[in-house]
Amino acid sequence: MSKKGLAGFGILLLVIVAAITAPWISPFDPNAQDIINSLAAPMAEGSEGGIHLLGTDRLGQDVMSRIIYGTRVSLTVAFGAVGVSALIGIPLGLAAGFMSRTVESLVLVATDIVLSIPFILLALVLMSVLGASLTNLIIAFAVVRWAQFARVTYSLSLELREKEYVLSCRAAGISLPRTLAVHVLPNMVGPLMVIATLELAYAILMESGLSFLGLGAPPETPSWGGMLQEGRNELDTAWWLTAAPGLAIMATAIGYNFVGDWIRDRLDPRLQGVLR
Amino acid sequence: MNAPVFQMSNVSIDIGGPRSIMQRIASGINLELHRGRTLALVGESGCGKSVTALSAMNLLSAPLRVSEGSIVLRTEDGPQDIAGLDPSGRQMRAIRGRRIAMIFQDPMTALDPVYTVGDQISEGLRRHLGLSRREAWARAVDLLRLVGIPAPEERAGHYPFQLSGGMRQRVMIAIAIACAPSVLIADEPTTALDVTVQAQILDLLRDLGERLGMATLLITHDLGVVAENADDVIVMYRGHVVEKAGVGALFDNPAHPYTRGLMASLPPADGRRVELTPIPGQVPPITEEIQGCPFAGRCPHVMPRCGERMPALQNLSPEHSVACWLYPAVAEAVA
Amino acid sequence: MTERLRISDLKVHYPIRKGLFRRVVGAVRAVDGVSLAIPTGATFGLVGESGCGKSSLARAILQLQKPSGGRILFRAQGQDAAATDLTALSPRKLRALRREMQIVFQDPYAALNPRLRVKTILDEPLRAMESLGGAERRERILQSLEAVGLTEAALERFPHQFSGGQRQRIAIARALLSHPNFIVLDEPVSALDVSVRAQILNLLIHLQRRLGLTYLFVSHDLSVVRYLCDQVAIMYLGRIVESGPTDRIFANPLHPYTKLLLAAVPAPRPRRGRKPVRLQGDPPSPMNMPEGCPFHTRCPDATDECRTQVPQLRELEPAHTVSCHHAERLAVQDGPAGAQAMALARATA
Repeated sequence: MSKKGLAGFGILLLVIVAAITAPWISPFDPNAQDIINSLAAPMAEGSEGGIHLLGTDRLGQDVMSRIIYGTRVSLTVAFGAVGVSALIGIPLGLAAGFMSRTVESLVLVATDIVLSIPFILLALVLMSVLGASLTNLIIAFAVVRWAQFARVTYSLSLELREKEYVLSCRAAGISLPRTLAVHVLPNMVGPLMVIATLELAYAILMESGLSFLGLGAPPETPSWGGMLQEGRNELDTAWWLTAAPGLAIMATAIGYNFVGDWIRDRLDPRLQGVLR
Repeated sequence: MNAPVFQMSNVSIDIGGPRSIMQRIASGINLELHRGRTLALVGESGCGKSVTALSAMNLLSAPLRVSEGSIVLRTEDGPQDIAGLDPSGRQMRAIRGRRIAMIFQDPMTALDPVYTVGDQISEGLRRHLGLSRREAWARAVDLLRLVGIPAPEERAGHYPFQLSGGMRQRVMIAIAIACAPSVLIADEPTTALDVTVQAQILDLLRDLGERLGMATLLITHDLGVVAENADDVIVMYRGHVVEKAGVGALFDNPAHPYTRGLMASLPPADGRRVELTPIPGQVPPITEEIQGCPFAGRCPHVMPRCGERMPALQNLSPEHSVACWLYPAVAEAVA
Repeated sequence: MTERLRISDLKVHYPIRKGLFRRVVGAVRAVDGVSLAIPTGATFGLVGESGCGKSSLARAILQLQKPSGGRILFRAQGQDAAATDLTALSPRKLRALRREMQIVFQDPYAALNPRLRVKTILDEPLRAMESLGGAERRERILQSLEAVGLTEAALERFPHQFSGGQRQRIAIARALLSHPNFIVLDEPVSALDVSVRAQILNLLIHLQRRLGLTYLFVSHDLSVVRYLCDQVAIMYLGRIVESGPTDRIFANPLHPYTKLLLAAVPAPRPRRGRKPVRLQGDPPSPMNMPEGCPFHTRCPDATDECRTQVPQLRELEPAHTVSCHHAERLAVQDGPAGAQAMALARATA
């Protein structure tokens, strides 16, 4: 495995382990307020013992613990949003590629429209109508990003539907759903995985962005974007409030991208001989 | 005969870097190209003919490399071993396109879609011969006329997608001969073309080779193309030259069991419906280590010594040599 | 002799769409009014250069491509009375008939799904076509594999573990699974090396004799067509320009295109000094068909009549048809051999 791939998987593993074991590895309760230690610098000692490794925020909440709990929001939103987008987009892309011209035109026009609207704008409108919650974040993402999956699936379909083994299925009278499930979809897994990892990175950034604008996770849920937004006011006095979640977002996004690159290289048959 | 313009002596090509397993994919290749003559390199997929072509241009890229032997190009400045040159160095770049030019199988991917064909022909003229833009363009139009493209003034301003497959291959040829190279390497130049267009292109290549005094290396898998267009032939199998002969001698009197097998695999030219005699089995995969003759596993005349050692090429007659233990000349040369 | 397949006036036109509303502005006439008949048990060769419509025709016959017009009469097994018009069948009835007609494609690398084991590749179509139990299906698969010279060991392997020739054997085994009586061979040996090609050709001949198959052999390779086929049709720009018994076509080609095509095939015999007449130029685009005879733009013998009148297929020798206004005149011009041969053939008929 390449160094990049290893780094990517390392980062993601860290995030996942942190999300699962948050209650045990967090040094503090993420919502416990320690007003005396408000805006304590990193490595400061807490008033009831323990060290605030990454300092505290204005309410005296431990930044380290909030970052660790933040992985939960980050992962839920990322995998939820990308999962739902894929579930909508992939079938629509397949339909566009293998069904009638009318279906093809409808899906293509729809993806063009959706992809031409600035994403953050649409998400803003949706979130303000639906209200800030993790579920709505996932919905907002899927409403826009399904089009990405649909478009990629469609372009892969164009290539695969001309493949002779797919034509052979028709010559043998195998039904369309079965042809798609057994012969087409498995041959799309690779490229779609790459898209999915890139979308994961995108979802993390989006979650942070919306939380930063106050439209993401509810304030009592520790999320990286929310922390960034709260820390913004103390930028000149308490740099750690923005630096810590900022780095976490960046690292995770890079992690997903690295994994995506690795999958892509791995699945490129032209590289197989060289890597072997 | 004069000294060859281009000579590969004992060239071996390996795959694999310093840390991975080495695999020899072509060994002991000897070939000479003479002015105005065409040498055909014939063989089936995986025989090593394409890597041989690339090595002649010093275009092999890692993990492929020439590990032994010399590749000598003779110009008016004297002989030069291009195997020793840096593949991406200035000297090598001055040779490619200027002294040795290459035509590839697929004219669609070998032409750059965003430049006009006139620009693409001009590029080499300006770089190698230092012509001005205007001079180069005029030469490009002349070259297009030379390769038989109608209305060359107009065609020079066209983009590759506006041309048919045969036209594109003509453009490729124009690019290749633009700087009057002494060696032309044509790697399956007509495989992607229809048979009527193939005939036109092969006629053109042959005619240009004779008129411009180029030495041509024609790489092909088609024995018909060989018969009609080559002066001399080299038959390759799994990285070895197994037979080398003048075209008449090869077809009248094929010596190596592989060459004979190839000919027996062709449907009879007179339309008789006799059963074909295919060569049994298939070419052993490149990853398989082979001791002795690589054809031994499919050969109807296999003998114990075939599995021990690959025989060297020995002359049967001055213009016909073969690498097979069946022939006394080969066996005696070892003894 | 019964006919396995009869096609009349078959057309495959692809619409050309332009603009925002994808209006139809014209059509690529890939197949433009083709009629032919294939006798049961024969091998019918369909020859032409790329873009002549031979693959579109082959695919339209199997209904993999919807024809724009014409009829395809197919005589199924055990149905000695009337043949069925494939273009008028409901999807259900068509599916039932599919087991009787199969196809083998050119590229053995694209013809097999790279992600499936051979056993699944063979089992999938069998499930769709026949209602058989698992053990029976396995029996069928093994029979098919054996027929193409492969063993049970192939079942657990993936396509990439086979060479090109072996893959083509697997593709043929797949075509044989449902015990078809008609197989379209779409350039089945064009991607193979010479030595392997001969193995596959022998296999195809052997299978035909053993199973009484009827073949439609689509190819651009005249030497293989001559070797394999009983009858040949030459296509140019979506139309058949000449057809007849293989021997007659090769001994006495009547259409100028056929003559030039035959002259262009490099023979594996050195022939120095003689330079055959070459066909000049490239075929016109099927999007923009010339008026009159489709070949007149490249024909060395074209006259004004050729530029305006579309020639019809005419029978000049028994079973040997050609669509050229000047076939007789050119046959005489070719020398006594051609004219004599034709007279002889007429007299013996």
